[in-house]
Amino acid sequence: VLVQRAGEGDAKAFDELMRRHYRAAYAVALGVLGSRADAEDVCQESWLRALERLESCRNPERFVFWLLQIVRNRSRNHLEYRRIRQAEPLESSDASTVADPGRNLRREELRLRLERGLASLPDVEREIVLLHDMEGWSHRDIAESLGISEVMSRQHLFQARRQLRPLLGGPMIDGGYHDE
Amino acid sequence: MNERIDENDGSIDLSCLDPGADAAHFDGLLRRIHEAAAPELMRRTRDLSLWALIARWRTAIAAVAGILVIASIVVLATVPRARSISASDALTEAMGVPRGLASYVNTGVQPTPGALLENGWRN
Repeated sequence: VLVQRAGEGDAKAFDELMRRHYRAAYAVALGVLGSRADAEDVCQESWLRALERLESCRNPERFVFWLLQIVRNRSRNHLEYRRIRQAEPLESSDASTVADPGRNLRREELRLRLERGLASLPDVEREIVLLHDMEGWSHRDIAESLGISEVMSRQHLFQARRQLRPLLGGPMIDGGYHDE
Repeated sequence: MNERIDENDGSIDLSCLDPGADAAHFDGLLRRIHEAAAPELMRRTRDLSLWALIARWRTAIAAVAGILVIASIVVLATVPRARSISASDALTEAMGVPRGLASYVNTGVQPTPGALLENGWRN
């Protein structure tokens, strides 16, 4: 119903769709691009593209999977564009205004380590760990979205976590940072 | 693989990557998309076709149609049917026999005196 109403130009329905599925779209974009700023830009482009092409979503109940395919394609295009331009991966300046600067700094450092760890994963593992651990998707939905089996989804998640854990738990060698 | 795969244990806290963790930032992201999508949403509202309008109101239209069907059935069931005139009665009547006596002519039954008086007098 929301998809249909958004297709009829209902701004509230479109807003509700975004609130429901933005994070999943962001997780996929971040998984491909590894940069929050780029992921946000691609998400915006993808939502606009999805709205323009809403009629081609033949099964509104599977809207989110359709949307994620758009996000995945646009993210890959963006990655290619970035490679051609040989631009450095962009890191956005964090706009959050947390009162405790120390806490903010620790959070930023953790975020950098996470991004570095995620960047070391294969694309599919990165997307799965983001959708599962950040967005809370089930293996069933992840499997459907990626066109793989649930067993494969579980195995990828297991591998991703096993690879990420040492990177997050120990000191940062090149940064000289020691976790508290 | 000897290690047990259990995704519920040891999930990695990715909340610092979650765009929804900072509500103000998240709202800003959605607002930005909404503003960019406004022209397309307006175009879609403007271009809403007759069929789309019917599709939007299809439940109400179906309900009204259902009520009309039920009302029609009730009316047809309660109003007495008009007496049909057979073809032979109509032919007899066209030959000048009063309508009330036409069935007697066709069936060969003798009309009662009352029927003769009534139909003969009226016609």
